[in-house]
Amino acid sequence: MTTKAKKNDKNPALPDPNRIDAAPTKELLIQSLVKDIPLTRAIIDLVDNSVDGARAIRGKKNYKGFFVHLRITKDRFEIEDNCGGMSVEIAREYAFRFGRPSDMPSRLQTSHSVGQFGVGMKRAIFKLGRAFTVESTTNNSHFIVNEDVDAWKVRKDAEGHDVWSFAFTPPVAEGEKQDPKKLGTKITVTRLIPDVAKEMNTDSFLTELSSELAAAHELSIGRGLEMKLNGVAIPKEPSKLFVSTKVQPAKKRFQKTVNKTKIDIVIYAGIYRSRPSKAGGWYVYCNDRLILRADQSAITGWGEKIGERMPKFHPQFARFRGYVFLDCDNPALLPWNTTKTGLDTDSDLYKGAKREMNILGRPVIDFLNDLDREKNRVSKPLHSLVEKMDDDEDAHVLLTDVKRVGAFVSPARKKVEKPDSVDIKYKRPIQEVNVLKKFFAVSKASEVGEKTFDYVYELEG
Amino acid sequence: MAGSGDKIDYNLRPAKQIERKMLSEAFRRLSFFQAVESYRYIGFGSFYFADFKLIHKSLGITDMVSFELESWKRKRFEFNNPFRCVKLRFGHSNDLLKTNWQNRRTILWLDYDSPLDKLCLRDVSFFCNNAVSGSVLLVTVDAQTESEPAKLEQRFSEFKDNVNDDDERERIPFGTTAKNLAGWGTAKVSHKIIMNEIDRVVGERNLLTEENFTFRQLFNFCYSDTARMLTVGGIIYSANEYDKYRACHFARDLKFIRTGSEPYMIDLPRLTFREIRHLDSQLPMSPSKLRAKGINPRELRKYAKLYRWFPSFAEVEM
Repeated sequence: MTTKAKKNDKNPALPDPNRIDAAPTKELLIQSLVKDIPLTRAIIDLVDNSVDGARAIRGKKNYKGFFVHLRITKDRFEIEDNCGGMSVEIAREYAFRFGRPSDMPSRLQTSHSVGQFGVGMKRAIFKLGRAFTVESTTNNSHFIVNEDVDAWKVRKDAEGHDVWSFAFTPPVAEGEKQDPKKLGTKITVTRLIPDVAKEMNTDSFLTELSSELAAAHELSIGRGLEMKLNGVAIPKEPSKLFVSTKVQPAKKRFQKTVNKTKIDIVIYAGIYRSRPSKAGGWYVYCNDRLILRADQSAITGWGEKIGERMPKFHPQFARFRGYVFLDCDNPALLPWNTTKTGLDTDSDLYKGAKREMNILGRPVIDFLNDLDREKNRVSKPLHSLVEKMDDDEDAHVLLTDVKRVGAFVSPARKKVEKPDSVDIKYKRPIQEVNVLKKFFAVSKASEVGEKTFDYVYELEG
Repeated sequence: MAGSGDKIDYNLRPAKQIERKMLSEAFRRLSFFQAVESYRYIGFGSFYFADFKLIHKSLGITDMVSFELESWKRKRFEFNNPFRCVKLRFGHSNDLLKTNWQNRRTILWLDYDSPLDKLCLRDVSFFCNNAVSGSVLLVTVDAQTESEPAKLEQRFSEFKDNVNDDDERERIPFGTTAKNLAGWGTAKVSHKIIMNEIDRVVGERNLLTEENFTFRQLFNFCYSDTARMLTVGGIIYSANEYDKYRACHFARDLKFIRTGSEPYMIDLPRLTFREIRHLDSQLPMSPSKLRAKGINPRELRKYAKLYRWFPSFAEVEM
């Protein structure tokens, strides 16, 4: 209380000689926000907000009827959704803040949300261009924010302090019923950064973005969310694993309670097609948003020894597929970083998940090693088994249809007896060997070798 | 598990025999988890099966598995197998543990006669990852050392290579130098490495499970029949079985229980059979009050500490 009282006592007009200015500059903020995120990921961040909207309304159920449309031209980026919109209250207090205040009332937060850090929208806008319009309609409010980033950057108040606010473009509707057909949010970015505009309008970029969107929001698209990029639907590519009587993927559920909040973890490990070759590895999702895609690095345990020893990723593991889903009411407890491109590998939660991933993944690796060892043999029962599954659509099963909980099942390993003897080869002068031939009463040099070994072994072994 | 079976009759290692008897006495207290005779015992029996004989006879355990590396000596091991209930498994313990592990309370004695190395630690780690609450782990390693400073440096570099895995984190305790391996130092460093490994793996196991396991060290024996040896051991239990662990009261009356880095030295007095009988008739008794003609009081103290487990060997003409 005392510190608060003191603060209030201070007269802002009189500069305090002991005060050191440590306020951030807007330029630093903009630069540091946009520097460490790839363009595709910045755009996916915007889509995350739309998906959160759908989730706020329907939870994890059917998203039919909701859409997210992206339009990219050489002078404009646009994203439009009908996922419920953003209220004036949220816009005024939170959505445009840099970072989400920890005291944000829970009624305004989406449970299991993907948006978490309160930087996604601003970062994407700054990454893309220098002017933007955000227009949003909820069932009882409507607003438009229109800003020029360069003008905002240098805007100061009467005393020369940075102005950290944006302004609504009047009129703002609050507590007035809106047309239910118009619910949703539309963000338009113009005055695009030249390099970005050039890059975004290449076919390779659009293809990559489409593929990343398909992967990142595979689950939401699977629930019926319509996602389009320049009018082209983002493909539905649900993850599948091989399931047959002889091969069954591992599946296990875990629950961890942190600060009285439950975190659910589901892990799958199994095999699938060997192509595309880059598809092998671990897929890690936080609140249904893909964070790591086909990861083949130590981040997901390759070459590590927690719980089980996993080898470094090798092309012979191309059929390996592992899926990890971390879900939590409070997204702050999940181990993702702010760009949602990586994981906080130091978090105990993720370390624990990695241990279980290794334990569930190791038998799959053993199987793939057996499969690889079969390569140069005449009889190839494992090859014919997996190749048959490659072509058998019935053996390709959606993760959500994998019901059995348990470890990976594959044909029992044939025991390969290791030889229990080795050859020893060495040279010695003939004369000396002859002496020992006499001693042991044998005729061949090889017998001298054996006899001398036995002799020493008898005495010293 | 390695080939020291040929070198020395395990029965004739008196300190080792004392250690076995002490351990067996401690195992009796496991009955608060479940009847001791229904535990599973996994050990490295060698040709002599000394531990198997003692544990079967004194505790009544019947689910017993012995790991043997030297599969080419299978016939001889089978011939020496003392009881029908002892199953022999041939191969390396790293593989055998995986294939022979059962989800039941187990006493696992990793009774190596080689110095600590990464393969031993792999077995230790397997136990910590998989053991059921109430299970006991024992690790015996050779802790022999060198006295010459030059050889000690060489020894230290070998020790480091043996203990560290290629791409695993450093296992040598921070600040350890060659000098730390002198005397009983190798035992001390080995003890620290084993306990660090246990703590790390149990910690990892607890990251996601709600069970929350604790490994409590109970044993830290050092003795020297021929070479300097170290046995580290303890019990793993889950948080909800803490009461059972408490009920075992390992430390009560069992003076050889050691929960920290200070070892319990099994130090043998040199006494004749006649002296032993004479002392036995006065025991139990405070060592200072023991009366024996011409025996150094230090030897008397040693004997008073060990007499209950002291083996009696005699040459018998048959």
